[in-house]
Amino acid sequence: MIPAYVGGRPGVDASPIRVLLAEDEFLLRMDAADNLRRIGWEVIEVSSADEAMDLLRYGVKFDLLLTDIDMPGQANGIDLARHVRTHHRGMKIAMMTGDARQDVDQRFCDLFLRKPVWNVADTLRALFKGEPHADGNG
Amino acid sequence: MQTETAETILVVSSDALQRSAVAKYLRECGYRVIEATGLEDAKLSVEHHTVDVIVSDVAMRDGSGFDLSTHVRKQGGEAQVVLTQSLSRTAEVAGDLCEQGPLDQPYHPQQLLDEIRRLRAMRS
Repeated sequence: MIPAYVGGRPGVDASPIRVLLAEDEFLLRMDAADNLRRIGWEVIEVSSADEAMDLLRYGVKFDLLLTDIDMPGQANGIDLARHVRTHHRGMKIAMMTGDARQDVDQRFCDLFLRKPVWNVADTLRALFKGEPHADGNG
Repeated sequence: MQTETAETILVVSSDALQRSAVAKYLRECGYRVIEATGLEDAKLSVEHHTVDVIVSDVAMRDGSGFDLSTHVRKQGGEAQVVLTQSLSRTAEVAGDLCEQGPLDQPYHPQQLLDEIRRLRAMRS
C-alpha cells in the first residue's frame, strides 16, 4: 500500500510520511489522524499496541510511530516503542501521554508529547526536519 | 479531491489493514472518511459526527455490525448502513437492519463504491 500522494497543494508535504498511529481514545486518534492526513501524510490507525505490533510483524512499513503509552491489551506504548527500536530501526518514534506524572526513557523515543497535543502536524514535521523540539506542545 | 461538502463515510473494522485500505480508497474517491476500530469507537463517532454511510464489518472485536446498526436506528440516525463479511444468517438479519448487506469479503473496492453511490442516489 504505497501512499497515493497528491502534490502541489498548499500545506501538503512533498514527501509524505507514513505513520502508524496507536491511540485507544477514538476522538483523539481521529483528530490526530485528520490533522496528519491534511498535510498529505498516510496514517494507519490502530487502537492498541498489540494491533500495531501485528501490523509490523506482517511487514507493513512505516516512517513514524505515534503512540499513546497507556492502552488496553497485553502490550503498552512503551513495549511497542521498544519493539520498534529493536526491530525497525529506521522508524522514528513519538510517544504521548495524558498522565502529567508519567515520564519515559528517552532512548525509546525521538519525541515525547503530553496530551493534549496541539499542532500535531507541525510538531511531527519538525521531527523529520531535524528541528529542535522542547516539549512538542508549542 | 475532498471538498467541504464531501459526504462522510464511517468505516468500521477491527482489521487494521482492511480498514485502512478501504478508507484510503474511499478518500481517494473524494469522501471524508472516519475510521473506527470497533463498535464502541463507531458509536462515539456517530454521536459526534454527521455520518452519511456506515461501512461495517459484521464481526468486530467488541460487538457486531448488527449491534451498530441497531444503535444507529435507535438513535434515529439517518446513516445508511452497508455490512461486509459473510456469515450464516448475515443476509437474513442484515435485510432487517441495513440498506445493503452483506458484501462478501473479499470484495473489490469498486463494488463498495458503486453500492455507496447507489444508496446515496436513492436518498437524494
